[in-house]
Amino acid sequence: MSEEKEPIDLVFDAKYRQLRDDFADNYLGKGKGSRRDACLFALSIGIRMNERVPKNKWSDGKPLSWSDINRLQSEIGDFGILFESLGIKRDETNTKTILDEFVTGGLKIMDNYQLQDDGNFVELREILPELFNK
Amino acid sequence: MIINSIEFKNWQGYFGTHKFVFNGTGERNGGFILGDNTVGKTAFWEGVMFALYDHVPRRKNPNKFKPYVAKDSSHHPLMNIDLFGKKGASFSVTLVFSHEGKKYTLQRGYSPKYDNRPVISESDLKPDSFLSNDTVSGPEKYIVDDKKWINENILPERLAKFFLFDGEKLEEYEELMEKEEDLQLRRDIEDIIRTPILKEGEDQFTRMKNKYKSDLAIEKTEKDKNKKEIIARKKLEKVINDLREAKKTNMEEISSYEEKIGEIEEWLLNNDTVRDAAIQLSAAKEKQEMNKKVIKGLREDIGREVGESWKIIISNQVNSSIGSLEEIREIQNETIQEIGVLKEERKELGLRLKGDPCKTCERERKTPSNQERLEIDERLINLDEDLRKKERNSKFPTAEEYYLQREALTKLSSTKDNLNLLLEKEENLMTSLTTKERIKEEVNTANSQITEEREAEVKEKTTLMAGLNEKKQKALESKGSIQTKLDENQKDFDKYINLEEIDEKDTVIVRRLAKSIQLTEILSNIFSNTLDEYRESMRQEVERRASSTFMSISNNAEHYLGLKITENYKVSILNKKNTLDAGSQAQSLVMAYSIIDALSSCSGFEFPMIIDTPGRGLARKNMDSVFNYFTKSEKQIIFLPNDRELAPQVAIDRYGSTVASIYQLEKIGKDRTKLELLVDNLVKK
Repeated sequence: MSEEKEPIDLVFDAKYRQLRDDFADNYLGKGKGSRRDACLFALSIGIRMNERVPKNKWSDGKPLSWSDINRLQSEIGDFGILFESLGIKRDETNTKTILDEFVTGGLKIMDNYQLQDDGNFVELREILPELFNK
Repeated sequence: MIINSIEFKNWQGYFGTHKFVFNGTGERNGGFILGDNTVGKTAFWEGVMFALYDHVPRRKNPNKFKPYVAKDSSHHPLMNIDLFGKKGASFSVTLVFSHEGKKYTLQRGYSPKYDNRPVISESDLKPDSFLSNDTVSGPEKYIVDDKKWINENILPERLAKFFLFDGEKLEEYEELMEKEEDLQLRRDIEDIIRTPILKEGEDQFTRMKNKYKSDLAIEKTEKDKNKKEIIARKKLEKVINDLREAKKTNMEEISSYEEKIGEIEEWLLNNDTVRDAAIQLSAAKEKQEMNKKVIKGLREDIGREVGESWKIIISNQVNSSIGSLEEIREIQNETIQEIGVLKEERKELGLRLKGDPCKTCERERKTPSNQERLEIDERLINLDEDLRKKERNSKFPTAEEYYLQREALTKLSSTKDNLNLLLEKEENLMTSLTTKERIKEEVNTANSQITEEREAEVKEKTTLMAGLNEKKQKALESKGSIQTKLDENQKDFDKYINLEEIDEKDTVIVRRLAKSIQLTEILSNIFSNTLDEYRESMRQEVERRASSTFMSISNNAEHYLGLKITENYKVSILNKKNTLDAGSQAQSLVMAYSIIDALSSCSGFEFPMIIDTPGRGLARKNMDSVFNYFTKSEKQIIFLPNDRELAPQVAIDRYGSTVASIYQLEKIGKDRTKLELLVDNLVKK
């Protein structure tokens, strides 16, 4: 895993490394992009549930990088605009920090529901009922 | 035969005693037995088979029968496995039925041979069966050879497949019917439409004719006292007799091989856990491979869904952002329009201030008074203020900003709005993972049963059986060549008989024999012609009935004229262009249903149709048509659909008033079957 290179590297709390890897291996294969996709999944959960873990509450381990802000913007999309529109990015906090805190928040929820294990996606129905049976 | 009730005691999953009743009020005698797979539907079907014929063919190998007793459920024993190793263990199936106006009770079962010995094999059991005619009393009440009576009076076992019908095997029936020249099928069908009586008559007269011919040849040659001819005839007669003897020996030889092969098969059936285990192991490994592929595929599917799911998860936020952006844009456009209106007003006030004519109507205007000037000035100040504000607000977002934000948000948006497919795939994955564990257990069980010693013994028996099969094959080849020689010599022998040369000069015996030959020839021909006519008329009748059924239950009937049945009983679908149609798989299955229905209707056998998993391979619409059609037919029909084929509430709503009863099967603890009567139109005692 590459080292954090502030300010463009996107990172998450290192304590969720195993969870992220297990989730990626189980569902997204061992390909290069699978770990990034696992973080993207965590990011979406974090945004949807509005679960941000501020960096000062992260574990002591060295944060792990999963992509960088430029690459994310070109390959996936510009989350900064979304955050501005949602009124999340009001102060000086930059997009990168918001992304880091949302990814870690998403991973925290995934850890609570053990989404890396077979058969636990059904838990999503509990936490996000509006996304099912439409 | 109409089934009034069937009672199971310790029969397969039916632990204890359970009774199904079909003796309904009015004309109602049919029923539905609903339940998911593995809850006891097939056990019901097999119970009828067992009661009638004393054995149950294995589903995957119909030449072998299921064991009565076994410790392990994978051997599918007939006695409930919880009773294995228990003292006093017994099982039975009791069928109460009416046939040709009389009521009968048939009990087929096995009880312990020794009171104090645990039941662990078939040798610990003794038959406990009877068939009684309940409409009579005294010694005539009990029918001695019940199996023979059933085969002769109810239904020969070979034809049971046309009545006790397994939807799981619908494809086999379909294949059977699409084959040209399937002798076994032709024989079965001819048996079912009862041609053998005519065939037997024809054979009987042919045999008599041959006997008269032989007698006439002797009479003729003896009378002519032509020693040379007598010697030749006697020689030929000896050859024929020798060949007949050889034919008899050959047939005995074939029977003996068949008997020995049967004994080995029986031994293998009872002792060959190794071979069974090997077969199971091979089947389980095959399933394992298949399961592995299914799991891999499902994981890939889930991966794809997860990979795309992030967009769906944030769709709420993204869509609301797009909505806000559009709202801002709309307000901006309205403001721009308002600015235009304000500017126009400003211009107009300017003209009024100068006393210039109206720009629009060119009407002359007076120069405004001082008071008016003051009012205009005030209005102009307010307008300017308003315009400045609006112009400031209308600048953002700029067209470029709007475009970029819209693009960015659209890139994050999803066309899907739910994750149902992800859960569906996960559910399938969990089912496959459960299956994986079950197969693993099967592999372990099979592996534990394969011992070297037993394997050697089985190998020896299997080799012996292969040798016997080879000898039987050779004997069958000899049978053909003996018959050819016999026919050739018989032809030579017939040269001694020229009926046209027989006249008044011949003796009375010769003339009488000649008459007998002519008479038996005529009678044999009458039977033969009648057989052909009967066969053809029955073929037409089966074709007519099958076509009518097909048109009633096919969901594509508007494209077809019906079914066509050739003289060899090959069945095809006839389309509206009057040409044979390949039809879809589903139509072919409907065709199989139609033929089975027609055959059972034309057969003259009064026997219920019991249909297990009736919807296998059928489209929903066809399936509904099958239920609708058959529940309205005059025959007794018992359907055994699974939950996917017919939901309990649908069964009650649609067929609750037309059938005698509807039962629901459920599995309770220890793999036991429980039944619940959902619809009760039964005659109350």
